[in-house]
Amino acid sequence: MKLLRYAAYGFALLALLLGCRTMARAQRTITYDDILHASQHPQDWLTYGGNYSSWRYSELKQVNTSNVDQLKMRWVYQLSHQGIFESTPIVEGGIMYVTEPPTTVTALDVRTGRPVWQWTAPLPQRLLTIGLFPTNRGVAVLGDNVYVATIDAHLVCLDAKTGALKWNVTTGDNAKGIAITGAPIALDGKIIIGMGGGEAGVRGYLSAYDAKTGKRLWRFYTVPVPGEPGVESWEGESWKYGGATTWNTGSYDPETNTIFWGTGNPAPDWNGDARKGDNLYSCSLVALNADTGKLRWYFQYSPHETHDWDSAEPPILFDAKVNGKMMHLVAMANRNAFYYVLNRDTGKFVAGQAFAKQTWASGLDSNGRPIELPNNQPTKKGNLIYPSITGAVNWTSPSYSPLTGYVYVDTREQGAIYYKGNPTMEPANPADTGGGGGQKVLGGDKMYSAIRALEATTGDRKWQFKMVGDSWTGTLATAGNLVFCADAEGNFFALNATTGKPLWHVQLGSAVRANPITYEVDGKQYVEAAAGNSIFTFSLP
Amino acid sequence: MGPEGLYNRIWGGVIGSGMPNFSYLGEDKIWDVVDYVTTLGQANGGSVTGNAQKGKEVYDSNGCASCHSIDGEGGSSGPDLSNIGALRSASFLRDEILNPGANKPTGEPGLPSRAAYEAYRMYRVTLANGKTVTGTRVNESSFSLQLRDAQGNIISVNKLTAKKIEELPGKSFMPSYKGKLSDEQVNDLVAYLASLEVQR
Repeated sequence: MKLLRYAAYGFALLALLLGCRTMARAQRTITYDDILHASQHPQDWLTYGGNYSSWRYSELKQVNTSNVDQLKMRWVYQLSHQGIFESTPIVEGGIMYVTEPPTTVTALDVRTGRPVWQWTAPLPQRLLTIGLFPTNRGVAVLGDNVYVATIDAHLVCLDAKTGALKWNVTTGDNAKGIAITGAPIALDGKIIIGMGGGEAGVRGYLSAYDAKTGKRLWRFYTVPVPGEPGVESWEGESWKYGGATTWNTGSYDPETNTIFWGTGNPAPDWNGDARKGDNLYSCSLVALNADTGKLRWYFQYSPHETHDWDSAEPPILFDAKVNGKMMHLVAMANRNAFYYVLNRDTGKFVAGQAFAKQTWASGLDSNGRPIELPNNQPTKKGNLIYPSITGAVNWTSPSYSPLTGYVYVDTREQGAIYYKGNPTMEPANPADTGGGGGQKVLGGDKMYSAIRALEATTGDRKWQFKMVGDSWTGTLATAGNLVFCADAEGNFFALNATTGKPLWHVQLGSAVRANPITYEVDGKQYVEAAAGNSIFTFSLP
Repeated sequence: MGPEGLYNRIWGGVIGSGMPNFSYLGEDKIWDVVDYVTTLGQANGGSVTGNAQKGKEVYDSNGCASCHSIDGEGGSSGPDLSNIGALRSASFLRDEILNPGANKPTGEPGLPSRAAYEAYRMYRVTLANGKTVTGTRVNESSFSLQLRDAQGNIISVNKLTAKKIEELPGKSFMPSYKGKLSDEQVNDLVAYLASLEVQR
């Protein structure tokens, strides 16, 4: 009996220990410090860009150049809400948090792909999504909470364990065309969220909310008003419907407590006649004090932009030697087909060059300002210009590998015939607002996409992998010296990060339109990709 | 694409094209746009002057059905013509009959992933084993190419292992009927093809 009792105690202790391990894994509270040191937690994917610097680089190397061709599918999750799926999952403590279009958060058991809870945003009957697709690109996690922005411009806090609503605040008026598709980022006690709707004639802004209460802490408007510096860059009262939205996700430098966020095009799009001037801070990178939202510096990539080339692409923060001197840098592969490297502390231009075909500028001057070519504007009859409206890149994320020093960019080689129209900007009645033109793309075999490896400090192209079709996927770099990418034809594949040689591919049956991620479950590295309306996961056998 | 397809594209937009969704217009307004758009292009493209009945005889007696099919009858190496009257103008059909290699049809071959690409382009591929295959491109991705040979067989090509992939511009499996058919026969054949439309 005694023996049995000891055995029972032993089993209970074992069960308790195992249980604790599982519980600890499931119930870990995500702290700012965890996200700050995301590279030390490669088993999870804790923030939209993989880390605050938006590297989308994982230290995991179980899957590497020698064995990636043995990857096998582990599970598939088919969305319960159909639509355009562009979400980067957050993985933590055995749960994958993913957003389904337009605004549903689903928590999946990361071992099996089975849903454990789901929350869907209540939406107004008359939802305005002008110039954007009703989708969502992901959540942020902090503490015991999951944060998501809704298509009708609310910011919502959910209980990470149950999906129960904790708070729901309105960040903007959807009836005026403000809509959110981007993922928030969680900093120390605050949630940073952008907004979209530039084509509706709204005035762009970036906001910070208290993570516990949902109280707004600050708001930075990307278009100045009279009395503020920069308003002189807008003719007349055109600043009122200036656009310059913040619809994608930015980066954060904890050392200087600075947020770096890209802004969208000025409104209206293809006809800038009524908004002469540089139109600050549209098509720019803004560096903001994370505590106050005050502008530290800005760099405008495309002054007085008229092709819909937003500069909302994710900025990559990295440190590297330039001319023998270590520098804090921020790089962006811009929709306008130029790659830029800036001094992260000052916003000064360091280097830049075209990374895709472009016919609108002869180059960049010593300050990084484009030297524009004549006849590069949309016209009534149509004008062929490279790149197309959707740009050499768009919202998907590049990745940066500290192993190779390369930035991996999913690049589109496409021109378009640009037309100039007559814009009618009526912010009070956004449904009747016109963008002022449009395009006819050179599609079919006249265009292609490519994964390009650019030397991070210069933008020099090291290799490319050409793809058929109009690719809308991001890239993921890993310590296994791999780059995972996908194409519009449904191929998910891995390239050697040093050479670009294809090492593995699988056909997923539908276009991939989301950034891939990687994480670890029970000692096994998983790689995730979304194609069509499904999430696919892979690991070694 | 039928009216429902047009409706869906206007409602949901077309990703990658710069066309946003117009769902906010509401159902009635979108149908008004569909009605308008479907009237465009109907008047252009040449007129039909021949006799469709006689054109069917030209079709039957010149071996067209060995490569093309209509309502499930015929070969598969050329495009299915069951709905060709709804898809192509009379002048386009005439050009194809007289000069088939020069003016490849563009547009949808019926595969969603290929909707944006040009159809019926000829390729010659030297495979890893040295064998050469020739066919029209049915589909292509970054890693594979699907060709249809002159017999209608599908050939799957691994682009990573193929020794050489060449496009053959201006080439077509279809012979030119210039000089082989009289002007009247061509007119009749065009009239027959223009009459082919799938009833929905």
